[in-house]
Amino acid sequence: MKWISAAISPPFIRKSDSVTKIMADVLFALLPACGMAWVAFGAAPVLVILVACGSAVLAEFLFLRLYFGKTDTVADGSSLVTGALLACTLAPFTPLYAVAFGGIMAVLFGKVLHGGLGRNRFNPALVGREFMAVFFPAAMTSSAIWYDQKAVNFPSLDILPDAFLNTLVFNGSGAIGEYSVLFLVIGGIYLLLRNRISWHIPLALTLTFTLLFLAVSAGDYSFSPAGVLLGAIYMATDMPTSASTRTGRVYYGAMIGAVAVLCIAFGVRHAYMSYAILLLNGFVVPINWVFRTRVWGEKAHLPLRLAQGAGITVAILGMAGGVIWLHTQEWIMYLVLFYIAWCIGSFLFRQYKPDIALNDA
Amino acid sequence: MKQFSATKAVTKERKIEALAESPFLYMPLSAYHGHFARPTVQAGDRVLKHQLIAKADDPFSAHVHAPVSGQVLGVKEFPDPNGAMTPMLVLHNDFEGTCADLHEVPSSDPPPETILALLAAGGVVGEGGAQFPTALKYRTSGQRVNAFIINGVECEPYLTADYALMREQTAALFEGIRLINTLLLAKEVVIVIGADNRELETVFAPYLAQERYAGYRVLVVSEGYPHGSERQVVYAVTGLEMAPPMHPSAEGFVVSNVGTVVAACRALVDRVTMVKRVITISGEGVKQAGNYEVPIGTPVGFLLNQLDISPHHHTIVLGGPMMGRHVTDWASPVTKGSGGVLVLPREPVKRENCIACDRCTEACPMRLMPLKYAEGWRRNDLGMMKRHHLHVCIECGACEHVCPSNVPLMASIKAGKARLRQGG
Repeated sequence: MKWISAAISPPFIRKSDSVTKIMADVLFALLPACGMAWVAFGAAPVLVILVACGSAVLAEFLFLRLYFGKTDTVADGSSLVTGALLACTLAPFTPLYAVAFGGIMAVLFGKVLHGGLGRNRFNPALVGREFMAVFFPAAMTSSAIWYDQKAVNFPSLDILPDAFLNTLVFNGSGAIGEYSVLFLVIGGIYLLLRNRISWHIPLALTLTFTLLFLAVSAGDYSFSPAGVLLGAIYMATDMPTSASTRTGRVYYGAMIGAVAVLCIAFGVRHAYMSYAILLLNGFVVPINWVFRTRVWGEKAHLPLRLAQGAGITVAILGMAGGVIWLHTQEWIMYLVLFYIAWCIGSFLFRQYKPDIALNDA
Repeated sequence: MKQFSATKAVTKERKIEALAESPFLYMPLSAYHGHFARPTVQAGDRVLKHQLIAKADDPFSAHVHAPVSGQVLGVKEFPDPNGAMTPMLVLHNDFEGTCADLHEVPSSDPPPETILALLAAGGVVGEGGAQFPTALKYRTSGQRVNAFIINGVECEPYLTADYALMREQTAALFEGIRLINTLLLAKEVVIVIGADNRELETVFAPYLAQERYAGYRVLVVSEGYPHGSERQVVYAVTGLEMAPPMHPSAEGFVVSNVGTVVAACRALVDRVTMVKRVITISGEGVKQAGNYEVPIGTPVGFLLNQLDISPHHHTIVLGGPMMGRHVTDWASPVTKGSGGVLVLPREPVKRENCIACDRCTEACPMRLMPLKYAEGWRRNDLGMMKRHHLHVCIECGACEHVCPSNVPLMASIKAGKARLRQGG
């Protein structure tokens, strides 16, 4: 006498968690920092956030339907996170058509063409941002998008006795996600407590960045602390595009910090975090191999691992030099065009495959 | 994984009870995988309790004995969880419980050289799951083993059968250890228990104080899954990381489950055969959850009927929730290696893409990167699976348990291993 036709395989109990819950936590963590954009400039930056999120979700829906004929993953919230993170890197008065373009490109070239969630090599939000910089250079480099006297809501907040502490809570200049160091950190602590990120990348990144910056800079350079934190806590920790083991994450974070300082030292003024993270995204596969776990009973093979580590470090620094050179030549555009060709090519020639689903009841 | 102890709390304090016997018994002829016993009775034969009904032809299989008296209905083929047909002897219980003439029970210890024969005659196999015949496991090359490790770390959620056994049949446990060790002459005898069962130390204390059990020690390992897996227990005792294909026995470590040792004691002292075992019946769908002693061969469906459980809205599992198997058929029997029958909520599993969150890497007791197996299988890249030491995986299921995307990691692992066995 049979009760049920097909047997399912163990484990039969699962931790109650899902992609949707992870994405909801990231959005929740970003919310206070994004709220400060309203404090700074009122409705304009809020509109940027909404357009970025809306265009990302819409793009995901349309392209999934078009390419894969299924839209069941739209509700996982990952495109909302992409949109929100993209908005965080943008200026408060970015033209909305450019924002919508960025949201669509972030999802299409950042995620969908690679096979959807988790299959992408590069951080989708930063991909969207680079597309905007390349295709709307005039709008993106105009100084008008960064400040509008008429829109200022609160020039500063005086809630703490010390002026410096007040700027940590609120500092009304920079990109939409960069107005509050305090809220970025609180959001990061929330993600840490919820086990959505690990401390390795943010800590290694900020430490390396700070130390190298102090070593390199004699007061000639400047950087945005909130921008570095936004990158360290929310961008560099993006799961699919970051390193997979603890040691790998420390290395990955540290190298992002190093490449970012290198970019600053050679004159990359705004995009240093974006370049550094995207560059290291590209090296995640070899990093995961060199910093793979030492399997139970396996010898450490330390000299070999060190040699391999030195090898990829040289490769990363070499590539960083190349990117900085392209940037100074204003040829980043060609890099993006090459990326577009690569995405389309790999989409056409590699068949999309879902994870195998055996024995599902 | 603290929440696991909550699942055990339901049955932990429950005494071992008996249930009514089933009118039909389905005696599995398989023991250690792929090895079968050959029936020695035919349809229509009358059999007595403890009578030999199937004989082991090779050292990897084990004798099967009738757990009740009654009539043989015949050998039937049943599908096992992998779909392969396996033979079972079907018995019809006459409820008279007439015992076969057992050997005369001597008052003195069996001499060490007869121990293996007695264990083989009793059909004693490992109760931990793999059902490895003890007569083969304890066959040493004449050298003293380095350690005899008695595994009482029942790390699967819900299961408390081993705990109940250690608490209620402590005397048999210690006698079993002593008798087996007259053969093994282990340099060290260690009973390993989980931190959640620390109170057993006081249960063991009077025994440990006795002269005849001198030198035995109890090791408490931290709570968590899969801390009771054989290699993790050996690591806890010796600090040695033994990855497959290397087996602890190769280094002179003998690991036995507590239930196995108690069954061995019964075979060596009382000279009775292995025809029953203690299982935990638990899960969200069970009202009278507890630890029950049941005859081997009892259909899971009959157990559910006894406890008034409908199988239709639940997932019925034989064994633990992490490594057990899904029971789809009324007649699927309790085997010598099943630690429990679980009635779990039937929930659809939503599979999503891997997002490389690396929970699986952190959960893996062998420090593997399970996400690479799902990726390797998806890309049809067996090389990737090999490079990441697929053969070291002990298939404990911890990775898939924690996966937020419910990626079919275990299916990838099993499929990958099967492909590699066929030579890729």
